[in-house]
Amino acid sequence: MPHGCNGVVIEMYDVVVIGGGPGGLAAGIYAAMEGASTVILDRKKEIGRPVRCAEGTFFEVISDLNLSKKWVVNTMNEAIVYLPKDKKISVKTSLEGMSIDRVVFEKELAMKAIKYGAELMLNKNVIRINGGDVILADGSKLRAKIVIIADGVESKIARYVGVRTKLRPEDLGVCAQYTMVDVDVGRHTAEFYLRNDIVPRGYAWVFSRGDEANVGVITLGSVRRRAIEILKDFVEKRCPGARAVRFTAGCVPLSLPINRYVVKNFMLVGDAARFSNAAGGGGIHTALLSGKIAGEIAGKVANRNLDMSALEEYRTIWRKYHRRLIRNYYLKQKATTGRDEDIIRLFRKLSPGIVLLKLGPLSRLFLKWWWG
Amino acid sequence: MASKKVRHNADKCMLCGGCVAVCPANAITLYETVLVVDEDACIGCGECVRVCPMGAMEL
Repeated sequence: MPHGCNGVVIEMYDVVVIGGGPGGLAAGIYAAMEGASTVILDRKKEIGRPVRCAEGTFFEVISDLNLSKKWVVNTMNEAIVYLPKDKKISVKTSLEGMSIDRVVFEKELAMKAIKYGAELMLNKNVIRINGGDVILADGSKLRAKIVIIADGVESKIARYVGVRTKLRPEDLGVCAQYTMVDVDVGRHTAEFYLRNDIVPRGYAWVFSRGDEANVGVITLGSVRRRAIEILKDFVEKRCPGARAVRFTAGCVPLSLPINRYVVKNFMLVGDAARFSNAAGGGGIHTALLSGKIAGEIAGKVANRNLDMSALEEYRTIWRKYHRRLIRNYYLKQKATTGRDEDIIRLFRKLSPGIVLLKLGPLSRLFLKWWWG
Repeated sequence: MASKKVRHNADKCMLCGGCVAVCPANAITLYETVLVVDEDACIGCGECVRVCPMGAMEL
């Protein structure tokens, strides 16, 4: 409800979520579900665009939301991993990976949030935060009991409240990707190229999307070569006849997760909290999960007018995932030395060359690397 | 003192936000369709130049 104060109209909410990506939308859904008055702000004019993502993931976390799955473009149950010295491993798994349409996916999350009573405000740039006051570039002001910070890889908002989120270039994954037609790849196959001669300190992927495929590379920000050039060379080798229908670029935090993710009445989720899998680079599942946990707790605390110290429950629940993210950061450190021997050593522990396993130790290692 | 300021080439930029994440001076802001570098805040460290996937940042 609007309150007049020194001539500025202030909108009051229980929970203000900054950022309308998967993390912020999940937070908004669950906060609203708890009965809290909730608003989700996004700086963009359209949810989901521009896509800055490889659009490959898997879902367990959000299954209780009964989403339509119309955003599932393809499923992948085979991963082929190309390692240095022409070694190759093939992993068949019962755990299905998915190629998704990020725009359709995020729009469905947004509709869900609205259905549960959350408000969605687009084209809103936050320029300052002062306690519970969120000040927007257009001069308007929102007052929140709790602010959930979900502004993604940039993570600028957290800096306004004193959390250091600046990344070192070597802890930033830099990606470039073409969506292409006429790529010769199995319909349900995901390919990974962990070879320094193809991508220094990173890897390349081909994710089948049925009629098209996402062909991309991820390298570290500290690598001198531009991701776009690495990608062009990879395409030249892997699928010279394929044609691009879309180009995307994106970045993902490959750092340790932020330890101060609950500060007073602020909660950080998803990429903004550096909750992404540093080894594989995936961040959708961790954004959804952290958003869900934070949103639920924020909604409950605000709705029942509990003391802000109750937000600490987020830390209690998130702790075990946090440990997994830390472990995967050290896995990334071992895998991105730039030396082929280190990649082979990581995979050789469990692999005798070409193997085909159903969730055996190798595919568990692979999933650990990729999913976190 | 590094006096050089970073120059941003909007034609090459994909608005991915990587430069914002590594900027130690909080000098870069991403809007809907533009990226803005605050020249007064920029310390010319070159971190954004290093990470940009498109080569859109120059010192």
